[in-house]
Amino acid sequence: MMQWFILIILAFLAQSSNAVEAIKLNIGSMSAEGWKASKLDITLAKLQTSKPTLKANVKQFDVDSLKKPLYNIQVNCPQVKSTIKAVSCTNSQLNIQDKYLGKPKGKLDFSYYPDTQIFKALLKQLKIANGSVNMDFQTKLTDWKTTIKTQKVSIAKLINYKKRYIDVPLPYELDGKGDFTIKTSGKPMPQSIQTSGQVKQLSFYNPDSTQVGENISAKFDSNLNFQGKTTNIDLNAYIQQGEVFFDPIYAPIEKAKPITVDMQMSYTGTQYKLKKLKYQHKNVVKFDASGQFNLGKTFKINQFKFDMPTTPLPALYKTYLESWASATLQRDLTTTGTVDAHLDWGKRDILFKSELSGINIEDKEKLFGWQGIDGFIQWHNRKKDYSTVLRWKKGYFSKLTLGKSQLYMDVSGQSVKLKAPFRQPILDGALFIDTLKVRNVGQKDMFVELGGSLKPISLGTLTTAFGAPALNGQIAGVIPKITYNLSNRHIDIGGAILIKAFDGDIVIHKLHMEQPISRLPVLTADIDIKKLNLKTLTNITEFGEMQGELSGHIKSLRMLKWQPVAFDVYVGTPKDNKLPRRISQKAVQNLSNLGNGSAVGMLSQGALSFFENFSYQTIGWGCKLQDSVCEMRGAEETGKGYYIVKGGGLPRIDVIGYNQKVNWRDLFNRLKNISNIQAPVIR
Amino acid sequence: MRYLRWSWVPVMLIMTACVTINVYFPAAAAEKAADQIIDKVWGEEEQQQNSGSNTQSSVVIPLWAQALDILVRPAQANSFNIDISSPAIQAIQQAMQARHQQLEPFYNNGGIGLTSDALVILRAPNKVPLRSRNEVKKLVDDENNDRLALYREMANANGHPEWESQIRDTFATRWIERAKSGWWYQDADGNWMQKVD
Repeated sequence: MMQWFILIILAFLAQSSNAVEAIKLNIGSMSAEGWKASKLDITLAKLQTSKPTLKANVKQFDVDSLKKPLYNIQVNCPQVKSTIKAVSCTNSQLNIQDKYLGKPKGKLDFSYYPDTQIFKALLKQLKIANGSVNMDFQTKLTDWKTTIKTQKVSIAKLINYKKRYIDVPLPYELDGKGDFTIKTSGKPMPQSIQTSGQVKQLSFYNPDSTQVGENISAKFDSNLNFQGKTTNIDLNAYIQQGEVFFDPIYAPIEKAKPITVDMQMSYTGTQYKLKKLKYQHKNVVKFDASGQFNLGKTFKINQFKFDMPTTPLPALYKTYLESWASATLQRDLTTTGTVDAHLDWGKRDILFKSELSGINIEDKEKLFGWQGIDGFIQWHNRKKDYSTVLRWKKGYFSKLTLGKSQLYMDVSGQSVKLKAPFRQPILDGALFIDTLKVRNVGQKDMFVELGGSLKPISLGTLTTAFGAPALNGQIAGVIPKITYNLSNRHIDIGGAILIKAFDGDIVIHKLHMEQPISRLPVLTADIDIKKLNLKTLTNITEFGEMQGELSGHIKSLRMLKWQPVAFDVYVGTPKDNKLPRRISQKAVQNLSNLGNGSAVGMLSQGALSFFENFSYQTIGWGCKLQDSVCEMRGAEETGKGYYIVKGGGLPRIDVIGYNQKVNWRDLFNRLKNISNIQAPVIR
Repeated sequence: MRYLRWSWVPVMLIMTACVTINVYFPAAAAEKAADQIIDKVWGEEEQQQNSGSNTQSSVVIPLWAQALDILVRPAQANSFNIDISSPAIQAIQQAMQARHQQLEPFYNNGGIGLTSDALVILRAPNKVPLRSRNEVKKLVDDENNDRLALYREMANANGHPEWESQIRDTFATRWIERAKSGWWYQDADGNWMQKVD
């Protein structure tokens, strides 16, 4: 457009010898290929002096590639210089009185060389978008080139201008400040755009804030090259600091650990080709990637390759995984070891491989840990001939030590299947899993099914591990089927877990858990107790010695947060008891306390105090817990009470309970006090 | 005169029908129970501070409904009381109370809002620092799981599992009613509003 002005100026200046003081020209519109200026007012004044002036005002300026026109562009030249070679003006004032652009102002130098038809313009310090812009523009016939330099411009305002004038959607909202140098040229269509610069306090976010970056400082240079319908893009970026969140991955970028990105890509229509991506996060991770994508109505990956070489896990975990893992597991972990990862995504086949070496994972509060994990993970989207093998040297969960083991699986599609039986040594026993199937991995309705057995763990080892006195016996079980449903977080255990303890059996069946790792775990079960040796049982407590056998049940046990809230328990002398039935004086006293019995006073004062033991016919005690109230019963009813101990022989002593209903919390505390058992606590 | 003599019959029928429905779900008792739990979870001081604002947004009850209420209220009071003392409810309440300290700053700055269906949502993620985003998302998930468990357990503990949705509806109103000034909530049409004194 400026060339047209100059031609008009030349024509005016040619008339200046005719003693004309000023010339004013009003043009309705003027246009050429790609643009149109409407309502031009051009005024040349002081034509009789050596310093003729020029004022030009364009009411509306439309550019074909812009959605909206620019309004009220004013050029005020204090002195037009005219020689045979050129017409020029320096230090003219450019005002763009367009409210949408914030009415920017700047200085403009321009010159036109009629012989060569070269037009040059230099725009200086145009105040726009909270910063300033300098532009050097040169055109000759249809060729043109320009260099634009911006300083401290607001990226958010630039994006707003972009929204108003250019119809190219951006996936992110942006903010921050930037200094850019943009070099571009055309004949007349643009051939390339080179951009370099730096951004500070850059932030970006997508509409649902699942991809966010904040406080990013970066330097970059890029080159856009246009070849027919194909646009080639080269980008080098150096990200010095900031933080990014790509749900669920959060990654801080520290000054000491900058990120370097080297990328080459191209796109033609909806086809996008990532020729090369080299990503290097200093002292954290580096990877290479390439791929081809379809960006049509539906995004499609035609091909994608990703290669992460052997990488130390600690920095990778700390930088990229910790935020997600600690929120999900509610635990802080430390890691060592190395890991690599490779993904090969084709049109039909997707294969992921990762090798783990010397990995240790440990909870900082020492709740669990695994050491010496080696192996490889392989996943294929449909083929089942890629195996996953994981080996570890040892581990622990709470006080349970876990021995060396390995897991051999087939992981394909959305399923996981055990390829060989899994055996995990626990203390002196083992957990044996012979079937494991996982369906819908990664889905909300993931379903796990496993079956196996618990090889005997001695109770002595188990109880001493938890700092309790050693008990005799074993814990063992057959687990025909355990299922876990992620949609409702329920675990059901089919079959039974058998605990061989105190010379008898404790059998747990119908075990069911809801949300076991939540803040409100629920457990329900039925338990059968068969022929426990009372002497063995009472000898490890301060309850007082008893001899005989004990059988019974705990029906409909319901625990909330691992505390019982409902059950129906009964334990007593079995009909086929074969052991001697003796009860010590201390045990009588304690049982008496339990049921608010009637034997206590007599024992400590009368003749009975000379006897250490008494015979009994039967003992029995039951409690039905509901709504925090325990409804108690005994071996037999008697008048207003019930026998807890029904004596036999001489001297005969009976313990009779009268309390039918007691507060469970009070009763529990009473039991705890009188037994003082150092029971194992399994957290 | 004959019509006049029998005109009270349909009126009585309507009133009797209404009474039956109201007694079935003890709305007043449920509100009282909800308020007690909210007091515990959010802290009593906050709620007392806001008790004055209740009148501002209370519903204007038509005269006929007030008359019915007079008839119905004694029946409710005598027949039903929502029990919130079960161990399950107590455990959930304690978990929510402990979590509230972590959630409160994000209620205050509008990061988290109260939904119209008695849950919470991360309504303005940009109000949550990036490094805390995963943690707060987990807190919101846990809070919603506990709230759903609370409504279910309250219905179960009172022997009426079918009350779960009505208890949830009651809470939906009470959470918002007792929210602090400046907190964000969703109205019945799903629009986000900010609570004012």
